[in-house]
Amino acid sequence: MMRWPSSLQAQLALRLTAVLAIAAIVGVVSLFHESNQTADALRREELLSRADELAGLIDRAADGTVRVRLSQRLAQVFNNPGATDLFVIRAEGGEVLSTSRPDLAPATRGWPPAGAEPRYSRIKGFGTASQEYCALALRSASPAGPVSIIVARAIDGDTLAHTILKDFARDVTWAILLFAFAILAVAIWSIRRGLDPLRVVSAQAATIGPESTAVRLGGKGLPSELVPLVTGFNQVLDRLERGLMLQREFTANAAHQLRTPLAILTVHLDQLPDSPSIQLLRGDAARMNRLVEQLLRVARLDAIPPSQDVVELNALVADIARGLAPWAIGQKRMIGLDGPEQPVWVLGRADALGDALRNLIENAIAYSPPQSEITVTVLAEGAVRVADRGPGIPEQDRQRIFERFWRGRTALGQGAGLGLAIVAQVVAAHGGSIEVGETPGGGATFTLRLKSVEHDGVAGPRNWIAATY
Amino acid sequence: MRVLVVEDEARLVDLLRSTLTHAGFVVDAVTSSEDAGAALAIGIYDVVILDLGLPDGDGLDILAAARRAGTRIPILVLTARDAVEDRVRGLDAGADDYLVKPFAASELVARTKALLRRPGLALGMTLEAGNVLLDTVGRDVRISGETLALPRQELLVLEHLMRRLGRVVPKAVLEEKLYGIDDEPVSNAIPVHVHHLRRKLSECGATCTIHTMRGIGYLLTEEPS
Repeated sequence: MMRWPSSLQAQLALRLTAVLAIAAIVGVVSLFHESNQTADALRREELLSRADELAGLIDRAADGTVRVRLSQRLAQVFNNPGATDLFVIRAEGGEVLSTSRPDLAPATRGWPPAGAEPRYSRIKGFGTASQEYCALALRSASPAGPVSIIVARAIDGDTLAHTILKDFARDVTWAILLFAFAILAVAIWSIRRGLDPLRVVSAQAATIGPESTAVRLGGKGLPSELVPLVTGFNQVLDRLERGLMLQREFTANAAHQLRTPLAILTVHLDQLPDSPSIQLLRGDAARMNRLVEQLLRVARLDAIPPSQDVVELNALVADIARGLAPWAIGQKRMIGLDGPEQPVWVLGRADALGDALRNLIENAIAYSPPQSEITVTVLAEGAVRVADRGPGIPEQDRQRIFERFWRGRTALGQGAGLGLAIVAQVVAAHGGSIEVGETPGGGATFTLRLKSVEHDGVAGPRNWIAATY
Repeated sequence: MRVLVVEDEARLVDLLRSTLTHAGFVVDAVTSSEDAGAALAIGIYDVVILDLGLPDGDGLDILAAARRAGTRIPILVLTARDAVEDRVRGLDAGADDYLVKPFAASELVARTKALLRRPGLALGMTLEAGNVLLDTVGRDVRISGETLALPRQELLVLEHLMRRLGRVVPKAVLEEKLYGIDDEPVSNAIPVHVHHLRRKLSECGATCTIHTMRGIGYLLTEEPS
């Protein structure tokens, strides 16, 4: 079954085509009907004058027989072998007085006698079966008394006038069809043009994203039918933009409001003389700092979805590893970085990806034994592998570790259970994947895969270099 | 060494003052961007610690104005904002370093000192790491007062690691510093220099250590006393 097209343009075009086709058919049919009527009227006139002429030629011979003395012109018309014209003259009683084709005379026997008015008709099955005739019966007085004169002509053997009429009808039919096509073409073109504003608005709508909330639909020449839809949509956009802005502001304000008191707390604790309880408090403050940090990262990720920038992984990973190295040394762990010589470009946002990588490496440092090395490897296909020598992750926990606030049985007490959830969130927002497996010889290996892209930039993002040097 | 602290949070100002005083700095504190501008104009400070969130304006504006005015004092920016864009904006405006709240007191002191360890600045003449002293003008190294003779390349590596005490220096950066000293650049020149340096420091009982982070770089740390 053919499906009704969903495109408005196709629907309008189809409907219009149907209407035009019907109009063209009706026009052509009525034109033919009209031209047939005209042809019939012409034939009737012709036959009538011929019958009148014949009536004048009827004559009763001395022996009492009725005859028709055809003029030379009429004899040519009626008496040649392929004649398409014929006549029959019958007496009142139906007896054939004279005929041009004696073989056809019996066929006219059943015809009703002509009335006072000349009777015009079309006859089929007269003579050869396929031939159609038009005929005229006329009652006339003659020297032989009242007679019925029947004059007939094969429709094929039409005269010049009829041929001209037929040609005219055919030409007009073509004209109608051409006209219909022309109208259709113009109509389809106008429909296309008429729908242009819709296409423009759709293209505008397609550019709207969390990154570009300032876009509003509209523009010059918007048809009035579209205005309510566009206005409504723009109002929705206003509300969404306001909501997003509030959330972003909240994240920024919360960061500021939370961090300043924490900074005071941290610095103050640092200044107090060492004692077991102060050391515990410092640990608590550090945990609090970390939790706030992670919560803010989550909030920021929720508020600002990743853009599709191009990031060089070698530079990004090196920067994150450099930043974490002093802390790792303090924890008596080492970080080793391997990567391909050529740059590895991926799609994403440097700060979000940086958060994810930092969390992965911090996690690895927290779970690996002292003096061991956390091996970070950048893979040319746009992935980063972080391998530690810790206890590893049991098979049954490998899915759950990425849930928010989930903490494994082996948790060492310093995490809030947000680190890996952030990694998973960043990865999901970038259309990448994260998997965890076993490090050969023991430990956990996380592999973070991103969408790699071809890019011909030479250096890594300037800001990452600048931030460290 | 005189440090200007621009921070509006009174409690934090007190703590910064005591922390920095304890570390040997003379501390002046202002709480508004107006006062900060005036204080900077005097030009007597060796280093500025600048909070970005001030009640009467954005710290970034002070930073940009100071740099426009030609101030070359190292400025350490302190902020509660840590999004990369903010970080980059700060560095673009002329910040020398960037510390996100909350931070450890020791980190602040270390970063401030690191800024002053730049060539030509207050701590740039004599670098110190544990019991190791490096005189950048006299080009000699003393460990607990004993002079240690070092080849030029090793001295340069040590100087650079000491200037960046506690932070990673990529191998490429060290190679760049040595370029032109080594007549023929050798691919493993830096690891060889670091190896020799590490052995000599350890033989002399230095209380600082050079760590190698494979693929990342080198960093010098002081041993806890």
